[in-house]
Amino acid sequence: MQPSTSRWFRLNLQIHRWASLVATLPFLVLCLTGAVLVFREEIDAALGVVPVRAAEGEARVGDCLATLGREFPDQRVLSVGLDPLNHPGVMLGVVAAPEETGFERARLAYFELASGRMLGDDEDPDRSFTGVLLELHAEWFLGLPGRLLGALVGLLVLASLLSGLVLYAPYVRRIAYGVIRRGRGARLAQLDLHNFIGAVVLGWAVVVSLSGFLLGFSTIALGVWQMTDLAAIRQEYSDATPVDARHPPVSVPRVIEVATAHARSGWGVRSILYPGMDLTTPRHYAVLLGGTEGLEARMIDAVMIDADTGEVARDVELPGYLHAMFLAEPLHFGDYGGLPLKLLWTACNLLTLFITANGAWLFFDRRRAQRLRPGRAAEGAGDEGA
Amino acid sequence: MKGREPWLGLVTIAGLVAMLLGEGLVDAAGLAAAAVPLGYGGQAWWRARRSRS
Repeated sequence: MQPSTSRWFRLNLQIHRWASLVATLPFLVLCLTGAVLVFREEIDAALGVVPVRAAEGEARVGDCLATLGREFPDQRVLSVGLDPLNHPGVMLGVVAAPEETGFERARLAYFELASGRMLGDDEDPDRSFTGVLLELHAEWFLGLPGRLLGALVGLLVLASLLSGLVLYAPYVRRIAYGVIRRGRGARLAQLDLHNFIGAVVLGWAVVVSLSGFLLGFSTIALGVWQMTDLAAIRQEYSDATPVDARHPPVSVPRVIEVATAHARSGWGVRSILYPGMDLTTPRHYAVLLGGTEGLEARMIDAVMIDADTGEVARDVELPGYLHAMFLAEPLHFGDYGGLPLKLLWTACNLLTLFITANGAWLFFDRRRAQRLRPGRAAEGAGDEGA
Repeated sequence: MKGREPWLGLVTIAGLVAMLLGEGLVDAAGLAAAAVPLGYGGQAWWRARRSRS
């Protein structure tokens, strides 16, 4: 039996054909939105979504929080964020109504660390241009079901890529790599382009679809962690006296001092979550620490600090699946290697966009040809691949 | 190399992961590795185009 007609080949042909076809439209949307989102930081900076500092100097977190208290007297602070790598000199304050314990209805406010003045605020951060695109890309405006839908698309694309690899083997025995058969009909030329470009972007597409598949489960992963590890921690401190979540006895600057002293060498505070939130206990701040270089810039350590005494209550060991989520994000968005990597991402993204569309064209063109000439045999292993 | 081009995808994956893990020279080497299939593909396409004309 010829390899091109073996059961294994035919199975992969069906997988490639139908997985690709089902994923085509959503994947086209993902490619188009992804091509823009690669430059999310640049677009946000150009549109002034995250204000930039005007002055440099010593960080005055206490002054920023005093300003925040004056600007939002009826709100509670949910968290404070510091991002010296991407937004140096700027502090993010997240506020919400006093009864809120999560970020769903939060408002963002930006402060200049050197002066303590407010740089701007954003009542609905999801309404920025890139915020809307990200919501479409990650959730299809559907929340958790949309995330799972995205994971399913990632899985279909992965299946399409791996089955396409099986189909590619007999094809390339006949057609040298890089050859595009022009002058023998649009179908053959498009088929050659599909196989050639598919081989070029295969590795990139595997990374992006696999990381996208993982990210589709990020909300669930966080929920599982909240229901297991965090629930156990909260249970452990259930007898502890709660603090006033709006005005904890220990101030944020002191929490930063304690957490920084406790952190690994070279690591710093990235986020401080106030007591009384879904992700903390009624008594403790949760502090997220991050590194500054390489892999460490993508990893997170968590520590809980007693909001009454200012002492480190415990280190929080994050499970492997949460670390996998943290690593999947840069591998999906390509935002960890500066402009050269973003350009590579864009090139691969546009090529993938092309083969997605031309794959669909090959499928429908084949159906059209079969309708016109019923019983027409496939033109060879490569043609079957379409 | 004939028929083995998809395996260059592993070079891309290794390059992208190396960039994530490393800094400086490792970063640059990772980027270069990640771009190998694009460069090799472009060269193969150019060569095939010239030999057919």
